[in-house]
This record gives sequence, structure tokens and C-alpha cells, in this order.
Amino acid sequence: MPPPNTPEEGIPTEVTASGSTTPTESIPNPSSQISSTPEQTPAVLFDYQSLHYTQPVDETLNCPICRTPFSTPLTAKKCGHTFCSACIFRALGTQPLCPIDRQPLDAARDLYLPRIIQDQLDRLEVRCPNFGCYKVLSRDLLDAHYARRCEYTLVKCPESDCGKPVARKNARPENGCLHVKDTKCEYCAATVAEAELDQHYELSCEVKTVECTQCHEDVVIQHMSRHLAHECLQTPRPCKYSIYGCPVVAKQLAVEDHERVYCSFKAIHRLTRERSEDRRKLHELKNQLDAVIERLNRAEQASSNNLSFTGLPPLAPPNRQGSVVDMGADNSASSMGALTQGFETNMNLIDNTGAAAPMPYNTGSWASPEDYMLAQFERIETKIEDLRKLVMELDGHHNLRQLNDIIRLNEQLADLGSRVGVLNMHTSWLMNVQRQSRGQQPQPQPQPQPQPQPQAQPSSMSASTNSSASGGDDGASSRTQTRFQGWGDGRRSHSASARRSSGEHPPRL
Amino acid sequence: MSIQFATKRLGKELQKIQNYLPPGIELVSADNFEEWLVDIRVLDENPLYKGQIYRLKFKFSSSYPIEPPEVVFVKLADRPIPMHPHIYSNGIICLDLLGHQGWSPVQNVESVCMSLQSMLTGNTKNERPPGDEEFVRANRLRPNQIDFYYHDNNV
Repeated sequence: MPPPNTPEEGIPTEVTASGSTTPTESIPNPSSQISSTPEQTPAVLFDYQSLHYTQPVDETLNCPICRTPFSTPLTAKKCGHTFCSACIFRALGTQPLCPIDRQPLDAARDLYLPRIIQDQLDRLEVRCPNFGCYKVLSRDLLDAHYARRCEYTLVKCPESDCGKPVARKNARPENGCLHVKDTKCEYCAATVAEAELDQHYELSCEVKTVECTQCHEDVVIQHMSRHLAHECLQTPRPCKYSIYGCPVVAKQLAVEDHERVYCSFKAIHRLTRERSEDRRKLHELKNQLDAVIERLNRAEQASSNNLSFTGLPPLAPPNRQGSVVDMGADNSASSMGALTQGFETNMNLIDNTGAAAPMPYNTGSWASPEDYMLAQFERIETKIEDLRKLVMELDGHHNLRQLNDIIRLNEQLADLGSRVGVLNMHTSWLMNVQRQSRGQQPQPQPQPQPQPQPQAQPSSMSASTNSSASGGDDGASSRTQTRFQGWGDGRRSHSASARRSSGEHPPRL
Repeated sequence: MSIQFATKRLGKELQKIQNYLPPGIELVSADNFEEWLVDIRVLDENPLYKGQIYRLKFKFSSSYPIEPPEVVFVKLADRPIPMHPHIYSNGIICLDLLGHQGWSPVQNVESVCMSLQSMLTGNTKNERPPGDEEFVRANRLRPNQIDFYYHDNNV
């Protein structure tokens, strides 16, 4: 399948004056070009593997499984082997290994579309798969041609309750359903539905094929004229340089050989081509010369009419700004000139299209200073428009980046929030412990011994408390108790030893 | 759909084979896309196979080339079954390439023939697989349904 934004066949991409393409103009409206009836979508899809390629295809572009040029190639990330998507999915259904080197291959994760191979495939020239259509086109355009344009594509019968396919050229509402109309085969006298006549010639006609008189190959009778004109290798045809006088008429292969190697009229062909090119160039130059002469004449006329031009030669390109000053002969004009110049240098930094280059050339042709200023304004306006576009683009970039930053900050905030939550939990847990131990204080000595066990699990923040509490002997437990007592007294415990205050640190957070 | 797939692929192969085949391999008949006959012979001076030609029969299922073809040697008056420790006397070949595990869809008739050629070339033992008689008498399975145990990496 071609990428969705491939330019459509026969519609050149339009380039605007600023050099950018406007996609809205080049998107065709398929329904308006063919027909407005909804039945025009193809009834059957063609098969990529049966396509006829007009030129031999490089062996490397063939899928190792189906041995035809890839359709929707997919490459394995690890080993780099490429297959048609349909082929590799079918093969992976049997065993999930690369068919060539048996490396493990996951259909969902390890395959990607190789852009460069796709591009090469897109450029292959194929013949339209429809019977009767002899069009040859590059492969990326084939889908669009087949789906929307080709007159021989089978579409649904315009009769809504018929449902059988019929060639698009016959699927006109005024024709009605061609499946009920019968017609006679002109070769075998069988009666067939009109819509199936082409198929009949192809498959079931009794005198289906005749022997080609030239190459003795069996050819479908309906296609004989095409065969003789395009396909038959034995039909004599003239050398393609015959318009230059080459007298050779020979069989296809011989003529091709002749054209490639022996034909001396090839040189003449080259010469005539060069000559026509030269002539074209000559014509162009002559046109330019005419324009220059005309401009010169106008300028001379203007200089003789207008006294303010007398100081300067009429066609003095580098003095354009100077002439403006002369014409205006006041400060506002000169400042305008300086402005224009500054703007121009700015613009030249932005795009080097050379838009400024023809300007000095044209200066002489302005009929009046007003015209000149108007032209200048127009140019400035277009450039401002360009600048506006650039600024908008920049704005978009900026917004995007800002968005990215905000997302990151949000993530960090969420992270911090969760950390605070954890700390909160620790605090409240420690507070609980404190409260409990305060409640237990008047109880006898062995009681604190089981106390440290539950403390050990929840968090590492209380590790120092634990180690001192689970010291085991009575002295240690009594120490904790005194500390807890201190904590119960609130701020007074703050004046205890450094070691203790470090133990108290988590609750204060 | 898959029948078409096999047919198209075999059509491509046939086109290629008719143009060119490696030395020692000869297409005998390919009248349809279900069964082909191919003659192979060993090219070097291996005394076991010198001067003999063997007939191979390929049978393609509708899921070829995803599934392997069924490949056996056929015995005719002038086409013996080659002596090989992995070829039974009824022509069934024990080769991992032809089993479901060893097969790969990138293999084709030509590559299978060449593999068999080299399998014969590299052999020096003038013997049948162990239990040949018993297997030939008892086996009623299709060749590619037999669950061979591929143990010998020297062929």
C-alpha cells in the first residue's frame, strides 16, 4: 500500500510563489471526477503477487517466501531479513522464528516497515491488473488507479439487488443491469450476459484462443490486436528512429537490439534533440531581449518626459535606492528607502530565493514613483505574510516544547506528592508508636521486649529507633522509654543529646 | 486463498527451474502444482552413488511453502533407492529439513534437491537406517507425519 499522502496520479503538486506546497490544493476529489454514485468502489481487490512488472525486478526485492516483489515489506529488527507482511505473518503462525536464520521473531514487536525498500518498490513499473486496461504506472499509484480511475475495475452492478460485479465503464445507471441483458459472442455463437462478455472471451469461449501468425503462441482471440501491437515478439515493427530515416523493420527483439547497438540514426536523434533544446533556449533568450528592449524604450520615454529623472541614467540598476531619493527628494522618501533596504536584508537572511535579484533590473520600468512605491509595498506585504507564517510556526514549536516541559514537571510533582504521602504515613505511624508507648509506660519491664518486632517491618526510617530499642537488655529499653517520655513532653526533649534528637527526626518532618 | 498462494509460489519456482537448474538436478515432470518428479545424481566420485540417477517425488500441500513438501525417493527399474543410513529402503528420507521443525518457507524445490545431493555426497556408509525392515513393513504413515528423532549432525 502506498503511504497515504502520495501525490495522486496526473495531478502535479502545485508550488506557490513562496515555494511551499499547499496540500489542500493537490488533494483530488475522487467522487467528483468519476461519478457520484456510491457503487463505484471496487468489488474485488487485486492481488499484489500476480502483478505484471514491465521491467525485470532486482532479485533482492523479491520476498523469499512468495518469490514476488514485496507487498508491504516488513523487516526483522534483529536479523534484518525482509518479507511481505502477509507471508511473514503466515510463516510466524507456524513457528515464531525468522524463516531464514531461525532467530526468535515476535510478530508484534520485532518487525518494522523499511522505508527505503518501500520507496524502491513504489518506483517499480507495473501493468494495471485489469483485463483490457493496458496502463503501465509506478506501483505506488496503482492502488489509486485501480480503486478510483481504471475503467475496467469490477464494481458492483448499478442495479442494487443484483450484487454481481461489472466493469466500471459499463456500470452506468442508464445501462441498467447488464447481467440480465444477453448478447451473442461473435466468435463461438454462445449467448452470454453482456456484463460477462469479457470474461467469456477470456475463459469459456469455444474458440478461445487462436495461434498468432507471427510467434505461433496461443492468444486469446479478443486480445490478438493488442498482442500483435505490444506483446508479440515476432511481429515486425519499425525502428523507433524511423522518423529520422532509419529503414530497419524487424522482429521485436531484433529491433530492440538494433536500437540499442547498431542504429546510426540514434546519433541523429541525439543531435535533433539537442537542436530542439538549443532552439528553445534561443527562443527564451529572444523573448528576454525583447522585454529588455521594450523596457529600455519605456524608460527612455519616461526620462524624456519626467524632468526629475534627468540626473540619472534610466537603466542604472545599483542606484535604485538613490533614484527613489531623487524622485521623492524629501526625508520621508529616503527613510522609506532605508526601511525597505533594511527589510530586504532581513528577508534575504530568511530565504535565499533571490526574489530581490530581479528588482534592480525592473526599476527602470516603473512608470511613476507611485507605482514603484506600490510595488514595494506589495512585496513588503507578501514578506510580512511569510514572516507571519514563520512566527506562527515558531509559536507552535514553542507551545509544543512548553507542553513537554509541563508534562515533565507534572510527573515530578506527582512523584513529590507521593513521597510526601509516604512521609506522612511514617509520621503518623511514629506518632502512634509514641502514643502507645506512652500509654504502656507504667507497665512492668518485660513488656517492651515484644514491642520492637512490629516496628521492624514498616520502614527504614525508624531503623535507629529499632536498633536502640531492640538492643535486648533492660538498659536499652529503658532508654527508649525515657526518650519517648521526653517526646511526650513535647519541645523539652529537644535539648536532649544529639543521638536522641536524630532519633526524633522523622516525627518532626 | 492458500491454495492460490501455493500455486503462485510453485508457478514462480517452475518458471525459474525451467530456465536454470544446478548441475546434477533435472526436472522430469511438473504437470500440475501437486506433484513434481525430479532426477538427481551425485556429481563427485563417491563410489556408493557413482553413475546412478535417483528419482525424487515432491508432493505439495495447499499450505506450501509454509508447510514442507513431502519428498521421497521413488524406485523404478533404472532408478534405485540410494544406500544411506538415513534413507529407508522404501524411499522415505529422514532429514530434519523435510520435517515440520526443520522446514522453513524460504526453502524451495531446488534447495531441497541440493541438500539431498550433498547429503549423499558426504556419506561413506553403505547401510540402511537401523530397524529398516521393521519400519518398511510396519509404517503406514505419510512421510512427513512421521516423528523422526534427528540425532545425527554429520549429514
